[in-house]
Amino acid sequence: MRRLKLAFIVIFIGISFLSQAQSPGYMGKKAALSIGASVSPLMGWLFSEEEIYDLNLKFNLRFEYVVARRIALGIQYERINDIIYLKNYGVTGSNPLIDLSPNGSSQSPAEFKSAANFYGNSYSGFVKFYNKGFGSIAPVGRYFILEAQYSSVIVSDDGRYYNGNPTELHRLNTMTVLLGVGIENVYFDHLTVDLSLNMGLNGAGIRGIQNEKDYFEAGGNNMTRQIESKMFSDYIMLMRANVGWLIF
Amino acid sequence: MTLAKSIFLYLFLLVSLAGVAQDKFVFEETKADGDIPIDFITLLSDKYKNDVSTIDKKEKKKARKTKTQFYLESNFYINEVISSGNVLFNDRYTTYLNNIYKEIALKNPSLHREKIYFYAAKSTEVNAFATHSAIILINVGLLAKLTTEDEIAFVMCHEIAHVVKKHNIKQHIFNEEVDKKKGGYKKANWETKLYSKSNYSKKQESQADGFGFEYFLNTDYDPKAAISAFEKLKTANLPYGDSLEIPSLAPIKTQLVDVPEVPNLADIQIEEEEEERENKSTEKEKKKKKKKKKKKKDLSTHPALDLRVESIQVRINQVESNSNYSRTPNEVNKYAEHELPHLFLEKGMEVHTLYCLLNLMNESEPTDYQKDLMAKTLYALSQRKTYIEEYPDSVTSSYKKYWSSYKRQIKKGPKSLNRLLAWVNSMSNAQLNALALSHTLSRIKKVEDGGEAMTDRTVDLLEEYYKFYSKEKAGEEVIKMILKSDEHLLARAQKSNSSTDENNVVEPLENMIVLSPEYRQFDLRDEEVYKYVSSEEELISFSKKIEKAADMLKIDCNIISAIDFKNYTVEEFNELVLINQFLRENQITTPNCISSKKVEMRKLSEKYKTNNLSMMGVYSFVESKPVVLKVFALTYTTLIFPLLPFGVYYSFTPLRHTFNYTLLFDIEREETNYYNVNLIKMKDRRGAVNVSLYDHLKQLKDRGR
Repeated sequence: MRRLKLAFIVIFIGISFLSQAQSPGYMGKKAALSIGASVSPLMGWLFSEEEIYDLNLKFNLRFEYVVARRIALGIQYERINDIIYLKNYGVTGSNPLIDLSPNGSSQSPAEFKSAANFYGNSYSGFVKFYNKGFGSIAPVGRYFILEAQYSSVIVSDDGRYYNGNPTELHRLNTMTVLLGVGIENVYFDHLTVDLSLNMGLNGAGIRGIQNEKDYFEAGGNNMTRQIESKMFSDYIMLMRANVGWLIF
Repeated sequence: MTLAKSIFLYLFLLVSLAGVAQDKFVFEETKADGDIPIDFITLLSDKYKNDVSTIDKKEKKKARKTKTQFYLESNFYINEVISSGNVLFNDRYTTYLNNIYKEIALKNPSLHREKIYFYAAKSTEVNAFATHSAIILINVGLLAKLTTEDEIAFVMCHEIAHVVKKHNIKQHIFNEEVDKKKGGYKKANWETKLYSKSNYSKKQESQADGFGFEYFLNTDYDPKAAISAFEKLKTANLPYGDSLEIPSLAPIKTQLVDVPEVPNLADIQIEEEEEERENKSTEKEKKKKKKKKKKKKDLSTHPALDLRVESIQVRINQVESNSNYSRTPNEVNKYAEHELPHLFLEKGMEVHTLYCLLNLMNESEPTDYQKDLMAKTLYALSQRKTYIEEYPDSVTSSYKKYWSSYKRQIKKGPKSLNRLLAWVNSMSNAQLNALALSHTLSRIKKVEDGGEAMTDRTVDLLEEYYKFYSKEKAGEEVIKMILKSDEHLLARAQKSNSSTDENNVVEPLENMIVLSPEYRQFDLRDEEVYKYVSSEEELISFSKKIEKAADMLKIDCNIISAIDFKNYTVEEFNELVLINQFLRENQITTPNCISSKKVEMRKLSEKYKTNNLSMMGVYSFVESKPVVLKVFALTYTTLIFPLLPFGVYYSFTPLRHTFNYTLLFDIEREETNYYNVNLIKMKDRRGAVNVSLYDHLKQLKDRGR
């Protein structure tokens, strides 16, 4: 633990020195705190049988720091709070949630779809490369972003079908790698506006969209497949908008 | 009786002394003085608004648009000229010109409603021009050329007529008509357009001659002065007459330097290549040349001088009375003549400077000002020649280009200049350096203010002289003797050699003078490409951005901006003029040359405690995207349809580029030591400009660390 602390301090001091020497920041300001939202419209409809209007909205809190003339590092916390319609499940009698297609063949629910809460937290670290060709200087201008995100998602019934007891249906811990392009500007010398378009590959998501037969042979079921393919569609094309404040 | 004798003696002495004092002409470079006039202070946007308010609202929409555009552009160019620092105010020339105008207006009551004001412009060109806003500029070159007040008054009347008859705006409206192929110009090709514009301008000039002469006739000036003014304009390419009677220049003998003899100017034969070529050329070639000349004349904006003289002569004959006019001498002619040499020197026209100085020195005993300027001119000339001829081609190419174009310009000019050029060319570099050295050496310690800069020049020249002797493998001892015999020079030379490396050490930027920041916005999609008013607004805020960024980096920054004269004193205005002159000269002279403005610039450096002169600016462009790109974006995003909104946005928004540059010039070393341009492919929003500007200043602040 002590070694870890030491390494952390050394890295922090290193980054600080590097940033002091090379990065101008925005009028000397290098750190920004921002909040934002991300959406992935149409993707759920295309990849995971969601509705066409489903935006898959997620909110984030982000801290980033300019470490070099054209590089900024950052960390982000993202809250996932969504609903998933478990299409191949139905509710009958004492056993509320029944897989209507145990052999894997898709079929519409007999009476209604079962909606479950889809929530969790994501933690990510990212690096932004401000593009020299576009004359960008961190934190203003066009950039490429490379992000690694760890997400922990829980799918649960809120208790409607389990006699009032909230029940966890599935838990998923997964990694996503995102690559994106964006544009950031500063207004009123403090307010940052950052828009980006990201393409991400979620580890579980890739598994979820593979061949149905292979998936079931590997021990998966309809519910996990739908959850995982939702993860895929949520990250494959993510539009993000952040509004922040340059703090120091 | 004794008392009477004493009084008589006293009076005699007083009169003699007064006479001596009057004979001694002391010249100092003319500078603006007093309060900065309203024309300089008023912003372009305000001038534009005032002018637009005068447009009759009953006029057709298109006519109103044309006039609005004219006022915008014209006011912009007037502001550019005024802020260049070349226009003087409350100086001897401007005061004199406006006094003459009072005389003219007194005899021409119709002029009372015009708010005409004259300014003198520091230009060697023999010219004058009127603007739509009733500001008339008369060049110093013209005041040096015209020897009588009567001639000046005629030229002024001519320019007044341009203002009264609103020729500027009329020409603009006509040009628009021709360019946009309206009326009778629907099928006009480019040549017809050119001829039409030139003919229209000629008509206006003739009209200005006519109306101007009527104003002039009402005054007490000699009407025939109009003819003599035109006669003088025939040799407009030379400040004085084409005199071959100027004396040669010899080295000034000193105990320190043993200088070789130089050729005598009188012995120099001019190669009359032009005439010879003319004689040798065939009939066909002669005809071709004649045609070319005719075409050039036809496309000129002014009618031929002979025709103008003729028409004025006709009018003189009509009104000739028996009154005997005595012409009033031009009060400022002598000053203007003295002004020209240093103006030529600033433009890198050393042969012209030499010509002016030799003429002035021929007229009377050389003054300190003339001797000083002569030393600087010879120094500049010898350093230019040495640099061009002895440094590698790769280094000197642009200077060689300038020198050959300057020589070509002289060759087309009068014989006197050609002979001077031939004289300069007939000397070896060593001879020219020695001549310059002797003159420069003679100015050391004699001119209090110029002492140090002159000493630096001497050291430069001594080095060249030394190289010459080393080459010849002779006289090395002579140069050592020279240096040994003057401790002060020796110390300077040693300092100059040893400090070369020290000077190259880059230091963090602590303070700087920022010269006239620039902000230019262009919309390449519009007919009106340059965004005049918005550029001015942005410029004002850009200056504040520079101040803020410098303040954050703890860089002491003094902005001398041409847009903000309102808050300036005349001293600051003159500082702006000085810096502009210094930079102009630096641009044209070779890098081995110390500026003629060195002493004044050193004083400026001391005042602001910095050698750093910075120039900063922003150029922003908006242009349409190529159709191919738009189609590609739309097609691509339609295929990946969730991205379609991006494709549509991309296709319907223009391309934007913003350039931000920062240049740092070392006043002492007379060279640029930092230059950075950042191309930001974004709109020139505050954030984008600030981040780039701060980045440049931070680099300067951190350098050498």
